[in-house]
Amino acid sequence: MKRLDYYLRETATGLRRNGIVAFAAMSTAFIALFLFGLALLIGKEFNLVIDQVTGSVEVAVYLTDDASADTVARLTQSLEALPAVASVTYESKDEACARFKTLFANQPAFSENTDCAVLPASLRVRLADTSQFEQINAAMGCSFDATGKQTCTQPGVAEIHDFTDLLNKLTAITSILSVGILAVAFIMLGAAVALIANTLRMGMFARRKEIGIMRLVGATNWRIRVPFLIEGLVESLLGAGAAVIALFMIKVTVFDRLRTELPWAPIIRNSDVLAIAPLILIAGAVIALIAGTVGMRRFLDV
Amino acid sequence: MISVQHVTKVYKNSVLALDDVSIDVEKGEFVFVVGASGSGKSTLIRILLKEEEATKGDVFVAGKNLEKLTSWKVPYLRRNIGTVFQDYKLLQDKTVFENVGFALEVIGKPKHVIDQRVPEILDYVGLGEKLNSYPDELSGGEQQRVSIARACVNRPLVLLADEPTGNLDPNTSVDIMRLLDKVNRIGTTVLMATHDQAIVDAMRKRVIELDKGQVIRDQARGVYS
Repeated sequence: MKRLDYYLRETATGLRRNGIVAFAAMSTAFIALFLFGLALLIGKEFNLVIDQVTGSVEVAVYLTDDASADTVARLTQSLEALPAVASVTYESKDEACARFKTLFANQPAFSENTDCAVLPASLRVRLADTSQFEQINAAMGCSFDATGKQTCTQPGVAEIHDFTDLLNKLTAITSILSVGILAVAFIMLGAAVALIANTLRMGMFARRKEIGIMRLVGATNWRIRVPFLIEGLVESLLGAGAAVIALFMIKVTVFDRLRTELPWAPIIRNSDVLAIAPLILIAGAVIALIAGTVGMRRFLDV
Repeated sequence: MISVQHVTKVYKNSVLALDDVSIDVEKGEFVFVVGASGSGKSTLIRILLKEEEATKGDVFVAGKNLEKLTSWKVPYLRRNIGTVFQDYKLLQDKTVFENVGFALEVIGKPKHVIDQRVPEILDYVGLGEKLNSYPDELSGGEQQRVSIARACVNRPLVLLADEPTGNLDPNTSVDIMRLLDKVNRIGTTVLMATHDQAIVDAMRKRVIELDKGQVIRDQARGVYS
């Protein structure tokens, strides 16, 4: 207890002494960790949207309205027999209608004036190997003519829709955004490490006489270092805490506004922000540890 | 208590500071190390503290072979060695009590030990009334007493003093020497580097004279030159 009290007092003195530099270090850690968290949230959001738009399937086989239950069963069987297919689910006209209504819930003119009868039932196919789309075309007897018009010879099959392209595009957008933000975040993390290391170094320089005496009377290296390590940890964890708060604010002001603008789209929840909070705090602690190692190297050689 | 065997110290800039120096100091001895500036007195003290390492030769302090002492054990060696310097090395923003207590606090001694030992040692050096003064409110002699109290509060086996009277007038210097003598009488081995001739001549203790890094004289009950 005594020792803890000593360390806390030393840390408080340290933070007071280099107020402005400590603040700069904290702000940099904050920006770095905020961007890091933002990249994670955007990635999460895009995954939710991709899930919703494509229903997480790569291929939809639309059925003609006159397809009987027997025909559907036979088509399902022949699709499931293909090596490229992972699973097949049946979506009835009613289910298609329900999905359509949620998709366009914010455009009543569109959803209310559409007769659900025109929406086809479909077999939704999840691919094990997305490059083997041709297998499905062949099995359903579908082909494109010179004008790009699709015709299918299998009875009951109206047309086939391949989402692979769209999926690839959405995934590409997600990764470009995430990677870009992460890259900036990493540069900022480097800056945060340098700034925190610098505050520690300035603190040690300001107290070099005290440290010299400590070494003379036989204080261990850890006794001398720990207050500075805690100082760095406090700085980066304050930055991390601020980053978590800022992410919640971004979630409320930006993502929750999307909820009104794009009612069809699923939006990340508070629990998603909460889930990445530990990651941000851990990243903050890692920053402090690296800064401590860098900042105090050489300074304390006995 | 201190044993230096054929020690040579060459600094990185190839200055030869100590040249085949051998010194043995028994427990409880009082030894002056004299010599002109640059003769190697301070280097010797730094080597005894393991602030510097000997280039050649063996050094034993308080039973420890310094060459074999790993760096994490150095602090524990220093807890057995008190040090006093010409410039006192007191912290200006701490009181006399805090300055002395600091030496115990940073080696993890509990508060009740500090509260007991600090007034005791300050009484011993004659500053029992000045516990709450700050260093700049004290005379040079008093500040040096505080630094001697700090050096002795953890009851070291060895006291190393580097020109402790260098900044003091002759009368005050005599007082400080009386105090060091008192510390020596309770069994602390004292090694003092100095070029204060009057003091060395008055004390008639063992004198080791260094010149250009070599021991040129080692005399019991000696004088300065």
